[in-house]
Amino acid sequence: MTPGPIVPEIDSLLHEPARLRILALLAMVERADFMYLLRTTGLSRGNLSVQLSKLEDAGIVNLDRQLVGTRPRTTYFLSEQGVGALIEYKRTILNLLDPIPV
Amino acid sequence: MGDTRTLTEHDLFNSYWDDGLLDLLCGLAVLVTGLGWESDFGALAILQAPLWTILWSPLRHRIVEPRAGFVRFSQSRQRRTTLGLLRTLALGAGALVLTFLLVFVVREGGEGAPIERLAPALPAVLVAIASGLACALTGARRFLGYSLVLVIGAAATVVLMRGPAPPLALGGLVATLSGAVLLARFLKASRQYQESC
Repeated sequence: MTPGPIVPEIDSLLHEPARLRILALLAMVERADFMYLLRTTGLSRGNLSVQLSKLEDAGIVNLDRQLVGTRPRTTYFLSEQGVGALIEYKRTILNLLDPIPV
Repeated sequence: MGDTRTLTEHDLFNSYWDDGLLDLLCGLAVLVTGLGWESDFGALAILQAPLWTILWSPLRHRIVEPRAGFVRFSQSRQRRTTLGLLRTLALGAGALVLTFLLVFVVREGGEGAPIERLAPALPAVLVAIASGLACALTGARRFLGYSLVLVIGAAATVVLMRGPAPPLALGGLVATLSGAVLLARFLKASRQYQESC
């Protein structure tokens, strides 16, 4: 254990570029389906699918399956845990970058 | 170097209307009103207008969402949108009431009554205001363009001493064509996107 203050740890689950783009988008809307996420994040289908699975497994993103007429619709939204994690991540990054002159 | 673009919820909401479906349906509502007015239907032609706007939701679900995806915006955004839509509908209803009143006043008024000269312009002006509200609601500046066409048409109809139909038909035609072009571009871009995936 090193003496004195250390640079805070960054949440590596959120700190991945593709996952961060997904989370930034979900933070701006209430919920969105896979196609909307695909079109707006610019990620490939495979990559988006993998990242969403990781976020879902970690409890950051939740799924909601509904029937709209006769068609199924699956939407993704930030969980309460996900919102908290994102707020904490933002605070950490801002604190880290704050001393850097612009 | 990193990507320095920014994306806000406002940007996302503005792009939600880029498919042109709203322009197409509202344009048809106004166009058919204008054309119907010139025919035997007269001012009653405006009664068909709400039917086009009712089509927006099912057509969006059927045509746009399979290609662009589904999104639900925040509760506060939804509230603002609902309020904006209600204001636009109220203005449309006001146009309807005013239209009937004007028809009555113009019929009953004497020769040279001042309102008789300006009355034909008022329906188009009211629709222009509604289009301006649609711009404020959607963030799509092209609705201001439609407003401008309607106002110019309204002014021309007063100068040329024509009826209310021509500016409505012109404004409706411009919005309809614009919506059709946007929708065609959206469908083409979606097809190309699907092929590239």
